Amino acid sequence: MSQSEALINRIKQGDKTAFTAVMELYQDMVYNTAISIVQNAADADDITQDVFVKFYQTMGTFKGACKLSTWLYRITISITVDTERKKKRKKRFAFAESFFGKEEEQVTAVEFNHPGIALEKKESAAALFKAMKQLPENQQIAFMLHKLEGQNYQEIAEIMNTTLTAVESLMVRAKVNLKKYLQSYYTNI
Amino acid sequence: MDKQSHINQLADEAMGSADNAKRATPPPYLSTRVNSRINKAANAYFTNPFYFISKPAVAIGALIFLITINITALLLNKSYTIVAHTAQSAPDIADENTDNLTSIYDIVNIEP
Repeated sequence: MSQSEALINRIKQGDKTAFTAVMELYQDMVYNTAISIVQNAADADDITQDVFVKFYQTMGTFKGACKLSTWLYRITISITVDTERKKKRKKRFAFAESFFGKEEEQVTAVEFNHPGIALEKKESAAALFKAMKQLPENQQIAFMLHKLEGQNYQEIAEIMNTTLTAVESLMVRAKVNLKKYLQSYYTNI
Repeated sequence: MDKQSHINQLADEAMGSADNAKRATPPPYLSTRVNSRINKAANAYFTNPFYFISKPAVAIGALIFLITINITALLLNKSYTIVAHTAQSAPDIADENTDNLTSIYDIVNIEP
């Protein structure tokens, strides 16, 4: 029995310390994944909580077919993508609501600084994160898992439930698109 | 260095800026907040009666059950009404056509 299976069994038996152990083991991974996509600390904190609540509620369905970390990555990405979609929908409706007299909330785009990036790279990393936001969802997730989570293409394929070839293709397109966005960004400043 | 190659250099630097980045860490007391949310959800399940009813599976199940009961009741009532109507009308037809009707006239005017 693997360590993760043993932990899951202990949680199922009502062992609170096992659940806390899982949280301590994976909280950085979950939070880092969330913050790299949503680029907002408060949202990432909420998502991390949601992920562990969902994990607690659905761990009965975990069969051990994949690694516990892979399963947690999948939950994190699913919740994060949902949050992002909701935010985009809200932005779209805010425009329509302004016609009906509802006061529009002033949203100012704040430059995101990832807390794990070295100080001398902060400026160029802020441009990179801005460009990442422009990428299609799948490309953004694949690029983030590789660059910020250090996952190899095979692990990314497992997390995203796709093939290795598909991940390779996503990464190539992500890099090409990012380069294009960054060149246009540095041309315009 | 011309402008285009400078832009390319900046773009390349930005592309590599996330290499060797450390993982961001969540604010402290995460486990406390998560446990509190789990307990709150568990308490809501037992204290709030609508929590159970509002679950989609329960709501749809209850709706199907109610519709089935209503349809069954309608069908049963319909067949009962037909049977009752038939049962009630049969003697009436018989009474109308009988020669042995007893009425007050018959009783008063008894033939000698």
